[in-house]
Amino acid sequence: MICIRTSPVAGSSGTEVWGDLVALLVFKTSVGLNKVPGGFDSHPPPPIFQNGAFSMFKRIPQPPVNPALRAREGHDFWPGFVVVLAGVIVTFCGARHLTGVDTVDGNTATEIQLVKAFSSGGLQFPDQVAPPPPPNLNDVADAGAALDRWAKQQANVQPPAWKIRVDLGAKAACPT
Amino acid sequence: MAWPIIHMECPVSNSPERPPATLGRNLSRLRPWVQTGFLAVWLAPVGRWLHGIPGCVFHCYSCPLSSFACPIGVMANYAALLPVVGEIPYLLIGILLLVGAVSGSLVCGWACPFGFLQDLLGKITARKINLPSWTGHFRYIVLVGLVLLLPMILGYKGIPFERQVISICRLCPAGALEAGLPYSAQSLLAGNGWIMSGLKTGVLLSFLAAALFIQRPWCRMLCPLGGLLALFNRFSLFHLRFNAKECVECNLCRSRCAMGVKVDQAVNVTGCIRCLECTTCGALEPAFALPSKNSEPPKSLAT
Repeated sequence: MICIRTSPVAGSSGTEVWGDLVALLVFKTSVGLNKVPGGFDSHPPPPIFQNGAFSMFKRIPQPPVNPALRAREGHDFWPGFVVVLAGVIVTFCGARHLTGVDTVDGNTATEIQLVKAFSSGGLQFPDQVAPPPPPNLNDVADAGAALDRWAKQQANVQPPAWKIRVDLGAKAACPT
Repeated sequence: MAWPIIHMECPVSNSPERPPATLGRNLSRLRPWVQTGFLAVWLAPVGRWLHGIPGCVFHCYSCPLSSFACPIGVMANYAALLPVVGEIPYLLIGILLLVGAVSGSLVCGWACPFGFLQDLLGKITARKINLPSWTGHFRYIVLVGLVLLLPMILGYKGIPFERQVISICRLCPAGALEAGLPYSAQSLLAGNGWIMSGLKTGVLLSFLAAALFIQRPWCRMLCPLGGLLALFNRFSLFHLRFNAKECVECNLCRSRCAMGVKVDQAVNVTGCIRCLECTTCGALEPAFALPSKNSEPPKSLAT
């Protein structure tokens, strides 16, 4: 429900429109606090904010608009069109782009797989790869020899040639 | 057609000779519903099915319901990887170029879920703090410093983005709200305690408090994606057009602007989120640039 009354405002050639509004403000803007005398707000705050104990909620006066200061701001078609064209081409290339990063399976990761790895914790770094576990000494006949073999293998292990790779099966909820 | 919303009849303009713009009023009523509709796109129930494709709005990809990847998170990850593998995010660049050149920052005002949340929080309190327009430059400091340079420097030192103590993802209120909060609540219910860091919890609480008293505080001051898309506002195909003949100096355009843009001077500026609330006055109208006989193509395209 809205009641409107108009009244002349001092210092303004127009008339002030007051709306005493009783309605929910959900989905309605609460801006318009910067109204000037002679201004107009289609969705004014409820009267409780305008009077009495809530009188501190005053509108902030601002200078009136000056159309002479404003450019027309019509946009030309061609600059935007050129950038749109560039965007389409780069997007298409990006969707088909094979990155320089390998997957755990040994294939080359696409850009889409790499982006997906960011959100699922799918990036693997060499220091994250765990070494093979030592042999279970209860299951082997010659435990001492097996342990020596494992130790030699570990000593001869070269750091992996890859700097980073993508684990397509990773499903970390929040990597950070 | 009546919109399914509580009607608040717009009174006539203080210019008696001209009624308020119907288009602007309809757009104003339509916008919350469009924002709600886009929530169903970004928070897809099936979840995580398009995580390989960066989205065009500020939205955490670690959210249990998120569908697309966060463009800022992707950008920061690529920046951290740049010294290691030298990859360029072509897909992200292409999508941002495409969205920016077509619509500028229209997605901020109409599609961004985080902007929508701030719009709703802004309804709760009537008193708002006006921020000076220069605070919008902080967005570019965040973009260059926190999203690009810092991850790159730490990545050069061999620290992966996930292990970087200070990063945009660790400070992001959208991440705290959409990922940190649900996972922490889940952990709390399971008896494992609150897992979100104190820093991130503090950022979230500060942001929520700020959104009550500042219109879109994140968008106005800190959003790197909004700052990036707003750079396209000056030449995007979709834009706002001012018709000086229609202006009756009612000041409605300026009083409707939640972002504090000086609409009476210029409207296709980096501070604008293209919410189109200013079109209620009638002198401003949304427009789409089309090739006309009078406009000549740039020399680079001319044959």
